[in-house]
Amino acid sequence: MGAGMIVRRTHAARPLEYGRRPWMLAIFAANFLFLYFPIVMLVAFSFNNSRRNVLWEGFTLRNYGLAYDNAALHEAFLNSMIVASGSTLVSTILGSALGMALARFRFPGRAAYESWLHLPIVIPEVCMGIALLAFFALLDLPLGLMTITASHIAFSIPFVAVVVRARMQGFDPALEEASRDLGASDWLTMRRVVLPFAMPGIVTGALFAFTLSIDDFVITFFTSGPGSTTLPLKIYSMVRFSVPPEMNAAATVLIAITVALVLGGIAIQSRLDREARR
Amino acid sequence: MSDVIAVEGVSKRFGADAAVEQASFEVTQGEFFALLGPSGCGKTTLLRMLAGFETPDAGRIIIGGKDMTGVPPNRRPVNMVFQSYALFPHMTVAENVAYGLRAGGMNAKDATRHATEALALVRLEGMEKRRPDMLSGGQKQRVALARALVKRPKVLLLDEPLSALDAKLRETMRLELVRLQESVGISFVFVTHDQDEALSMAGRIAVMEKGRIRQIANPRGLYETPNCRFVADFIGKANFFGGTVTHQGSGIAVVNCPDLGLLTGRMERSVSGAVTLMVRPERIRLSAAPLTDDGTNLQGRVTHIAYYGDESRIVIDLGTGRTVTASIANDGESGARWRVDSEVFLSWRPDDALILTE
Ligand SMILES: Nc1ncnc2c1ncn2[C@@H]1O[C@H](COP(=O)(O)OP(=O)(O)OP(=O)(O)O)[C@@H](O)[C@H]1O
Ligand SMILES: [Mg+2]
Repeated sequence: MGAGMIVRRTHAARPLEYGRRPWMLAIFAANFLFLYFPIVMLVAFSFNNSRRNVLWEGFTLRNYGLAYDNAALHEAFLNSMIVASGSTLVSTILGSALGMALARFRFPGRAAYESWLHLPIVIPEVCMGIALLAFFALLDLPLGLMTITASHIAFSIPFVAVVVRARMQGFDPALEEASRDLGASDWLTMRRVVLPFAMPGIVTGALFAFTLSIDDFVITFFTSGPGSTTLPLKIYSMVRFSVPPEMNAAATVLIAITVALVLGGIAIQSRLDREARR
Repeated sequence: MSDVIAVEGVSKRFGADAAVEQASFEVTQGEFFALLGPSGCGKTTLLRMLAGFETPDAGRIIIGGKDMTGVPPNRRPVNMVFQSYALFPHMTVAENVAYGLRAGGMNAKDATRHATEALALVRLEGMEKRRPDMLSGGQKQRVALARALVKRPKVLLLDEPLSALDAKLRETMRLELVRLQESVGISFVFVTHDQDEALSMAGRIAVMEKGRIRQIANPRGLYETPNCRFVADFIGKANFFGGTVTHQGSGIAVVNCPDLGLLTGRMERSVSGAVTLMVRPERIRLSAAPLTDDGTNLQGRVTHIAYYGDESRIVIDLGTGRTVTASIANDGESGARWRVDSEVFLSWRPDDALILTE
């Protein structure tokens, strides 16, 4: 008789039942605190009515005003937006095309190509930064917004491609044939059948690309030139010696944008999952 | 010319395997034509070549009098009902049906009107605004039909359209498909591996084996005069006896079967040498005493009785290690007459057996 035959109402905590072991809960809590306390502090102190960043003196929005009036910060924010929009646009188009091609076509060396595609995802950012810098130097390109955007496109494409490919894995090729059979050209089939199906994946990929771009530091650091400082670079240079409270405000804005985009992505993803389960 | 499709010596290979070999047939205007065969015999491949999704390696396909070589699927006057239905999930039922008309350049208003008419034809009025995921299997099936029929194709291609439905619905849809086909007058080419489906629906059936068409005939012709052992075995049940022809004349041949002696059967054309004699189970007469007429008489013992409700199949051991299956109607009298281990005489008239040469 197997042990499985014995029905018990309670059982010992299994390895993954964190909730049932107090010491595990403690580790959990500590982790959470460790991860989020600095962020919570950052956000809280962005509303602190004090020039020094250590004591709570009362609520204010003044820091946001200061950050907004800081011309250098302003310019950096604009630069970040330009880079993020440009790189999102291009990497979404290229990455989506790549993801669709990978999901759909079998061609010699496809597996190898896919592995290569994942390389930028796992490669250390420093290495990629150095590589890109060397590349631009080789081409004799002046460092600036162009080179930053190009680099961001390069590291975003694999992420977009992976998301779109995952989406297209669920695409029934018969839909495309049905469209052709009903008299639609390849182009019309693409526009009316394939793209609408891929769209949630493409949007998720785009959100991904945007968040990656807007908070990228390492690669941007290597590929930026004079006058092309982005928000993360600017914030870093301003807090090297002390942390003025408007930095808290600027960083909070950055966090808010990123969180909003990620939540948007999660919402789309979960709607997809619901759809898929039906 | 009333042939809407002419397939002339079409072959298709995938790598080293031939999926379709030297297939030739015609489909006439308004005909319900079935392609029947076991799994993997090349039915889908043949249908996809008609639709334009696969290119023949050899031979020609002519649709509506025009050679279709090099014509892409979107320019062929045929439409297909896919086995998985392939409804566009992000469009409503009405948008699905109107899709082909819009792709063909029709304005939105006319397309919607035609779509509504087509949906009425398949009895789906009032479903226009639904999405495919809110439909039952049978309803999806009808949308797929409406979507293809609204294009008024010369031929409608259907790849196992009923296989995804449950048994009861399948029966109803059979009748409905036949009714629909008659009312629209469009030729249907219908792929199935279900012989009941083909026999009950089609006007003519092409039976395929390993990429080759073995026989093309109407349902009665296939069942009663199969041209080879494969078709006889695939369509319905059959008993086979191998032997050599000893005499022949006036449509009847006598076959010497090594373990059973002389058996008689009808022949379609003059035969000689090694042949196979085929008898359908329902053509075998069972009796308690030998029948004295000009047919074949054998003797055996009942080893097994399988009850099917409308009929029973009785397995009889002929004493030479060979068994024969006979079927009797459960009409209240003959049904209960035989028991396992009963001694039984079996016989058939020469016309009830067929001599096969392949
Ligand atoms: N795209 C393909 N690539 C390689 N081989 C294929 C391809 N399509 C079909 N075949 C092969 O061709 C043969 C015929 O396939 P086909 O799908 O036409 O059979 P079928 O009669 O429709 O079978 P089923 O009843 O199972 O649907 C099979 O051996 C199959 O493996
Ligand atoms: Mg098939």
